[in-house]
Amino acid sequence: MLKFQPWLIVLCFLLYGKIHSSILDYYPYKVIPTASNYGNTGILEMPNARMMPEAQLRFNFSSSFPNEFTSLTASPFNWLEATYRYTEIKNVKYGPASYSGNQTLKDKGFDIKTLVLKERSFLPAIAIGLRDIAGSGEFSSEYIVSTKRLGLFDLSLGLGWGVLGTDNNFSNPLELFHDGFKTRNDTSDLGGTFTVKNWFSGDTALFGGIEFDIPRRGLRLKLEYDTSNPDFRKTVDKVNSRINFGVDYLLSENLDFSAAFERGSQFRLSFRLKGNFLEDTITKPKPKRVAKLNNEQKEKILDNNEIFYTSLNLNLKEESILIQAANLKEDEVDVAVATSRFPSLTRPVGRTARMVAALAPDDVEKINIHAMNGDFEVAKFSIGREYFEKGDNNQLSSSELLRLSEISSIDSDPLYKTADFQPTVYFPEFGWNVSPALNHQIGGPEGFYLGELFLRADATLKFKRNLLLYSSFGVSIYDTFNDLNNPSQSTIPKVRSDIQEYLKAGSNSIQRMQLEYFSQPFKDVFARLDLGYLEPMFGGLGGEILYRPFDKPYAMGFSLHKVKQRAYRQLFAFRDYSTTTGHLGLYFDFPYQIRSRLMLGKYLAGDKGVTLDLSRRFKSGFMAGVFASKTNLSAEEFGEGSFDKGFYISIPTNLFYSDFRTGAITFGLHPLTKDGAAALIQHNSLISIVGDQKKSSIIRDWDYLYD
Amino acid sequence: MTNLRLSLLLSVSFLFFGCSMIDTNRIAPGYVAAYEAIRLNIFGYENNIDPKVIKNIPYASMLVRIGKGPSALMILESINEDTFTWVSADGVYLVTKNGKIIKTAGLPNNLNQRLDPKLNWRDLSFENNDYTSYVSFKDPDLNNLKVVSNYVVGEYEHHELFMTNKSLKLIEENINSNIIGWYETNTYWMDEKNFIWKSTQYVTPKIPPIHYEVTKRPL
Repeated sequence: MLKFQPWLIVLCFLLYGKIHSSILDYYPYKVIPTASNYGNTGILEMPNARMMPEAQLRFNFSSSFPNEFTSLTASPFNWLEATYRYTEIKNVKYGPASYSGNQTLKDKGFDIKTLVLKERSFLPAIAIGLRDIAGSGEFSSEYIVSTKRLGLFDLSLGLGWGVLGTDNNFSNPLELFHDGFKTRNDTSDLGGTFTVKNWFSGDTALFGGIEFDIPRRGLRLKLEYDTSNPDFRKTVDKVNSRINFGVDYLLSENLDFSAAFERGSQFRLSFRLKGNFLEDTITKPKPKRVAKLNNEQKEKILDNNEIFYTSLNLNLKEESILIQAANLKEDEVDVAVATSRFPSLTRPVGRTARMVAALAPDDVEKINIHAMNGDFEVAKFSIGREYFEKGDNNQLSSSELLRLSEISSIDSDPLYKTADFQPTVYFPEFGWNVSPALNHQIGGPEGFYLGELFLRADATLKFKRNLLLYSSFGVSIYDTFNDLNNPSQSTIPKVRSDIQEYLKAGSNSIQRMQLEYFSQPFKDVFARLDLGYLEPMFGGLGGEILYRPFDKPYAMGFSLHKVKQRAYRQLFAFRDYSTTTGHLGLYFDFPYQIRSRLMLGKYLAGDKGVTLDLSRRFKSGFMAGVFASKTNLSAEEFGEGSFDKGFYISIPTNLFYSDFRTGAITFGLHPLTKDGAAALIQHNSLISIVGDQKKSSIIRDWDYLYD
Repeated sequence: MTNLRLSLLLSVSFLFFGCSMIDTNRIAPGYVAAYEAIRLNIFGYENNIDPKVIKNIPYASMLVRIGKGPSALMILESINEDTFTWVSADGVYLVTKNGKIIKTAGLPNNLNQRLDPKLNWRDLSFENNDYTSYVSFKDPDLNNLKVVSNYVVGEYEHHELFMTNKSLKLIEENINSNIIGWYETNTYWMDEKNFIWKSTQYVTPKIPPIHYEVTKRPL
């Protein structure tokens, strides 16, 4: 008779997942780890060690009593999740009725979670996380959690501190290393600071949970032991059970719903929307092919170069690539091209090279393409015609072509000043478009969401190359800004905190009206001057200069503006306040497409300090970043939040369409609109024009040359 | 003021829903493209293939569409008794046997093999019978998945095809694979000689249905 062998059961569980790995791919639903109530990947109230894949965004809405969470989670790496969250605490009022009416308390919070050990055959994944850092501390917790997959089960076990440690069922192991871990009492009245001394300190609790996947039905069942004990913290009166359970239904890869029963008394309903922006998954149009010229046509071109220029111009126009200048010489061709269709430089360059290779006389051996952004020639590609054609016929790899080609920055006059062929451009050139747009105020005492739907009209009047008048007008359609009733209490110049006055008075406004002049005085040096209504709150004059070495990972720039505050209506009048603001900017690109920007200088309110911005840009163009500023203002002068900080994401619109396009949907968030560390919001900043137009970016996108 | 706002709101609605009626060059390009993307997602692509092109091609051919994607023309590459191999310009292969797709290649996920005891329509009894087949997929691999089919047969009806009109009967094949929860309905339009002129078939659980319509029948 066979004896009971516990190890055999464990082995069966471990192998179960591998045996079923192929069939799991074919279930109608792909069940994957889902969000916790708080937004980052987890069980319900408790976290687990699972992470989102990199370049993912997830919106989470999770409602129960007393806490309703609305959050956005981003994963700049596959080992890091960051969550920004608003929590409505339904059993607490925002403030006195005279101040905020019946509105319930809204708490802002920021979480971070990092994977420290990947799951192995016999080892669990381990993650460390911080919940509600630099906030009011209502949900402040730290945790270390492990999760192991056993077949269709995901088992999690962890230690929690702070709110997660309220159950206090475990002695804090870190006390062995330092007595400071015994207590947790460091507080910040203004919020917004990192109370590092509290981290992993005080009461500690062991928590755990089990998740079980039913891929045939698209379900993930969840059960957890909740150590947050809201009854001990007096946030609810009574807890009937420390066990929470729930079920997630994964309707599609981008949408899931969940229902849970918590504390033995409350139901919770949630939904999550997510998108992954690592790659462009929508097929785009292939390059246009043209038939090669016959001998008679080639002879005609030799007699009259205009035929070559005209046919090249017409064919490239069909790709929305506009020739700015061209020069056909005996054995080489120079072509300067600009486009607003392609988000990377290499695609239009590849398409131009293909056309030139098809239309140029046989003696032409080298194709020089000058890529332009605006009126700047940002890069020159010198490609051997024979090599390009071989690559186009799969006889040469793109990396071989890269090695055989030369990519450089322009060190002479732009081609449009010297070339034989310069298409006639009639100045002044006028362009405009309109689009609906939204303005928001989120989380204020007057209401959680106040907003405006308006029509935005952008117009550009170009007087000559490098000189243009850019204007942007807003016409309100509908807004709820009249409810705003929370005037600024700032004790420093109110350069941003009067936002409510601007929103209320500026329903039909001139958002910008500025004259801009661009110049490239030396190799790799770019300059810009601007004058007018530079942004909705300030007008003035100034400029910037940027040194961006083409083949180096760094750049540096300096901007200086004399500005005056605009009147609330945002038409032509000004207020009394004026100042001079300027920054030295240092830019450095780290490996893994991590970019940094350090700005040192004087801000609009006259405070002096530094802003650090860190972001990661993926090959698809998706970008996620954080920033923080510290100036010579004290925490009291700055007010709630103690210092300026925020995050932003940028999703290229190209990822949503079946054709190429430039532009991005950018979402940035300052938790609070404060006067400290407020910088001028500049249009067409030089780094935005030429920052991603350098050798490393071209090499990154080189595969697109034949695409 | 309210009327003014209402009229402006209507204007915006037109921007969203009436792009074909106004000068789209003056709307920020993102909105025009978004409208187009949503339209394609709901209604799919229109067939832009000219019947003259099909007539001028000397080979047997069929129009194929995957999900709501654009239509593509596939040419008959080879015949082996009642098994036809069709190929598209971008290297997608479909192998059909008596109108049923039994193998695919060149798709992101492919049907590698179909072991089906009754692939001849004449041998099928359509009344209350379940037929079991075993299918194998590639990319990723899954072998011998049990799939059970039963059939519902309609009457002959006049049917308008892309190149011609025919009297065809509709056969619905309900397929199910309980182990993975895969339940779909395939459709076949068959003429009186048991030739399938038009069909919609779910060949793997990971790709949308393949719609085909024979435009020039193999001789």
